[in-house]
Amino acid sequence: MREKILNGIGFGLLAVCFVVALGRIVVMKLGFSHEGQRQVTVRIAHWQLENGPKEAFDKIAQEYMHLHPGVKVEPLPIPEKIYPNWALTQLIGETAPDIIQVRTWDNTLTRFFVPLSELVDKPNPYNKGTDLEAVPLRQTFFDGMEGGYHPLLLEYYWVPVSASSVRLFYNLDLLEEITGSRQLPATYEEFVALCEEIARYAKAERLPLVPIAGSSYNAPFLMKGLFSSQTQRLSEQLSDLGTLADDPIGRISDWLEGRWSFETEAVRSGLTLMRETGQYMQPGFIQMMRDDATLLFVQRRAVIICTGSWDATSIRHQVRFRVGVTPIPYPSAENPKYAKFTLGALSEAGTNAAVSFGLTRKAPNAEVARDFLLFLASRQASQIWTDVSGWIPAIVGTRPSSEVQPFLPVSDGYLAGLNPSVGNGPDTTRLFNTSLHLLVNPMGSVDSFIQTVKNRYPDTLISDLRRNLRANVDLIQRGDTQLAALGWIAREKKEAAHRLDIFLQADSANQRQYYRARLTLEKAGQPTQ
Amino acid sequence: MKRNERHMGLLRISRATEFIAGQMAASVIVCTVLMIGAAHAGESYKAERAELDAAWLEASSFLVSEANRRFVAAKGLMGTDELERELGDAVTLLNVQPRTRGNIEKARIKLERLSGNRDNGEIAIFATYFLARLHEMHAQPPRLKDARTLYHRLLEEYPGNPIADRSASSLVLIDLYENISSEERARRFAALESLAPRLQSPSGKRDYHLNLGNAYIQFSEMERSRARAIFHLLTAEKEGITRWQTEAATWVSIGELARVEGRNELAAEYYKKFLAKYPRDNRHYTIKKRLEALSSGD
Amino acid sequence: MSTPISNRKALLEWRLYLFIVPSIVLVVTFCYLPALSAIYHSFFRWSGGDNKEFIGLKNFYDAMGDTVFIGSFWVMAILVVSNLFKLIPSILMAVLIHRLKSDRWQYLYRIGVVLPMIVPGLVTLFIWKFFFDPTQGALNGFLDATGLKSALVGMDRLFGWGVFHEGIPIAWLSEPGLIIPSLIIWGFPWIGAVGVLIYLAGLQSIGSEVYEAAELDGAGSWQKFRYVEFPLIMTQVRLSLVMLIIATLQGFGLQLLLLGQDGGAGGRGMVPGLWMFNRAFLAGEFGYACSLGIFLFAFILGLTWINNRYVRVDK
Repeated sequence: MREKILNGIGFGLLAVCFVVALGRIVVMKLGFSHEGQRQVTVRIAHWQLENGPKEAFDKIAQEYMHLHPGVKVEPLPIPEKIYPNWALTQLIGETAPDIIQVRTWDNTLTRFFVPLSELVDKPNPYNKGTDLEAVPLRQTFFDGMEGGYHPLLLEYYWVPVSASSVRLFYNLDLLEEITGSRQLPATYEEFVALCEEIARYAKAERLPLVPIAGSSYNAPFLMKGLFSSQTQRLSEQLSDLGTLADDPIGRISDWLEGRWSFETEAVRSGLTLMRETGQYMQPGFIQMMRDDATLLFVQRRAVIICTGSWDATSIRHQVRFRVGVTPIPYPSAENPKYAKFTLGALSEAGTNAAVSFGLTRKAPNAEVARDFLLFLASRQASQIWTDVSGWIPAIVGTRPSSEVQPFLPVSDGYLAGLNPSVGNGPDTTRLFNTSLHLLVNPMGSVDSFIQTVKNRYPDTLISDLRRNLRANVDLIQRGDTQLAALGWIAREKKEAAHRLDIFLQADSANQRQYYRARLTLEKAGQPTQ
Repeated sequence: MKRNERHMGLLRISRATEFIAGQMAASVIVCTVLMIGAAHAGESYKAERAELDAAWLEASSFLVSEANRRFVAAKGLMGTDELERELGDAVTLLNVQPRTRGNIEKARIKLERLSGNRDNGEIAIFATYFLARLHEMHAQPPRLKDARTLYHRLLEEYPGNPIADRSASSLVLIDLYENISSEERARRFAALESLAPRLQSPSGKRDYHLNLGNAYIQFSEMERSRARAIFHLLTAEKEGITRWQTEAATWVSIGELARVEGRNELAAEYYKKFLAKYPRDNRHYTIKKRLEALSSGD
Repeated sequence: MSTPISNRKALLEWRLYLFIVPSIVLVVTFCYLPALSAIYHSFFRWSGGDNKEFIGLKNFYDAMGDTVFIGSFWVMAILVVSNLFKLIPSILMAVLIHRLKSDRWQYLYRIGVVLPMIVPGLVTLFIWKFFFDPTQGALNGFLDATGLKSALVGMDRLFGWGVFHEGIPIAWLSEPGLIIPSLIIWGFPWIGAVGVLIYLAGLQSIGSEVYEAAELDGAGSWQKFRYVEFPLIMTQVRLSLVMLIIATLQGFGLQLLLLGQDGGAGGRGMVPGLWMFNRAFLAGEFGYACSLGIFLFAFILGLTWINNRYVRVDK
């Protein structure tokens, strides 16, 4: 009897849980279907769990709900690690929130998201009363909404809210303790002098202190930036296509044809600069990860750390000292050793807006969600975003706080030079990364690095070039069906004719890249398949 | 007797009237049924036609497998609509997932059949163009010779057609980006330049000139290559570049080439255009400095 | 021993089979379907999205000529051999606990061994990563404090290893020559809780009469271990061996966390699993990565078969 009662209780509990869960689903469903009569809920998923952005989304949601009392906006913060899988499962299962944060998506994106192109040429109603009142939505973004455009699908698919930049962060208290001043270096020479002073101080005081907190994540921002500055003039010489744009195929081709190599004076100088800065980081830093470097900085064991604006709020939240921020300092025109290869500071004008959101096709409340996206793209929301998150705003005319100011992209600068891993393909990058210890370890040298990698570079470059060629073929092949469809529709529909025209130009550009890669492989005596 | 005869006559008339009325009623019923049937057939045909339109729309948005299913399912179409359905089926087969050689081969057969008959009009042009693309980009290994032949055929048989005109830009790439001697390349440049008068559609002309201009930059060993490159890029620009990335790159190229050629006015003109339209491009500062240097006569 | 039921009875009680349906569905969905999907995708050029192209056996041919993949098996072989030695401490620990006279102490030691299991694996990895830190790590701290560092530097000068230098902290994970030794050192003193419990279970099933007989024969501690305990826990040892080999062959989390996705300096820590990960997520070659997985699967299957066939248990 007792057993029966116990079993009954267990079963009863299960039944109650089931009924409650079912009831919740029914209530939610009813809430969605009777728009107007009940509260409409718009869910917005994102992975920005850092200090600041999460609170900013909450605040923007509250502001929108204040304007629209019948609407409830529910931000859903999801950890970044599981986000891609989570989002895909939700999208396929047709249970995705109305609005979700997106990163790079396959072209099958159209399956899940609604294009927003019809909105971009009209003014944003939420900008009423501001100087953006009559400005088309697209033009209200600092990058012309480039960050929301899918170049292959030729449609605007998402609304970005932020941007990022890389900066040097200084522990001002420690700096003052060591140098007696809080003056931050403006040039590379001043930066090196400061690092020297810190190293001397640490040695004299027998402190476990290094000038720069390095890691396999943080160090490349600084080192590749400096390498790039040393190869600006060389890059201009090589850029015979004249578009001055980044041209990985061209650079690989140049390398294979012997127009540049690690023995080129400017390249060697770039590597020397990389080694020089590497010596101011903790020994063995290339085995350390992002968190290790942050810990070193936060624990006052390093005076400087190089990282992105996305880490700013987290760093400020964790430290008990004042933090100073500067752009990466490049060698000045007076530098006897490095000036001859450089043009000047690197431009950040091409920075695209990021932290983008798309409207899902199966959004239960598509209209309200679309309206919320417009609010998210408004000057008012952008102001909340930058004030609360401490991140860069994407909407022009938003007043950045004094904390955000140093992170705003610097547009007065020259084009970046070359990338030390050339075409930036996975195989060459891997070879470069796995050989980096020869360059930066205390017992390493520029020569030992060059001797080890120079003979292996052509093979990895060719394999990356072949991968690039394949990717281009894929792009062109996939485009062919779309090209045929657009061509057919465009015979009668004007709006399709415009899309077709844009598509044809993109296809031509892709084809040119394909044939250039093919020719380079042919010249190198390599199969093109 | 007379009465009888009259009666018989009336009876006959009455029967005849009955017969005619019966016939008429039957005709009305048959006609009504036929009309309903025809209307129904018309409705169903319209539905199939709508399927075709929906399939093209899906194909234009990369939803290829869905589009292919619609093209395959749209049965019972006639005439041009049926040919259009076959064309849609063929071009979607190129990208139905997973891509297989079998599907590409099926697409080739369909496209060959459609392109073979010039009476198919625009469908034949589309089929021929995409058959050439199939040989060029989808076949493994690429059959560039077959693609060339088809592109030339398009230019000869369908002058002025926008799709056919597009062949010229493909021919530029196929012929020039080969590992050949400079003499051979110069000969090919000359042959390709002679295609220009045949092209009539703005987009065809634009992409042809863009490809030629960029080829002159790529193969700078050609005689007067910079001047020829400027000429072709300017011509392309005149035809209307609507994609901003292409426009920005073309303007910078014209500016740079003109500067090196000593055509400072032209260089300044294009630098200024670029600076005005693309203030947030990362090339902005560099171009600004170039323009300053030109103005100061450095 | 229970007697098997007849087919007729089994059919009559068909409803009972419904109880295993959820388990079968879960196993098929989460174990077999992904594996079948990997086999399917290994025949495609596939970058993870919707777009894929059938290429037959090309991925497999490419894998056979992939020098990094082949090289990664050497690293793995070294790790497998070193892991064999790492079984010994667990066996010894199990025997020591088993031989404790006091049940109470046995219980306490068992708890002591099991307790670290509640620490998440990732935390253990992070702690070890911190041990290897050149400037703040415990390992370098220990070597400096004990003067062992000077001895290592002296040996380095003698043998010309070129990895230990005076005045420079040892970069355990960024010096190619030290990467494999670091991976071997990892987990010291190599006492695995699961292993100890498995061996203990085996030891406890040995009847007291066997020990009494051994004692009558004059067997000492070592002889008891050599001729009684070790042979009688061979079933457990074999099970551990299979699990260990499979874990070493499949695993790459340790290398990924300690060395990064490229296998560390000189790519010295590259194991097959990590190369699979690298190709899929860095090179975007998911189809190729699947074919590497098939090779790995075949290799593991072969080794398991050899293990079952030749590591015999004679009781």
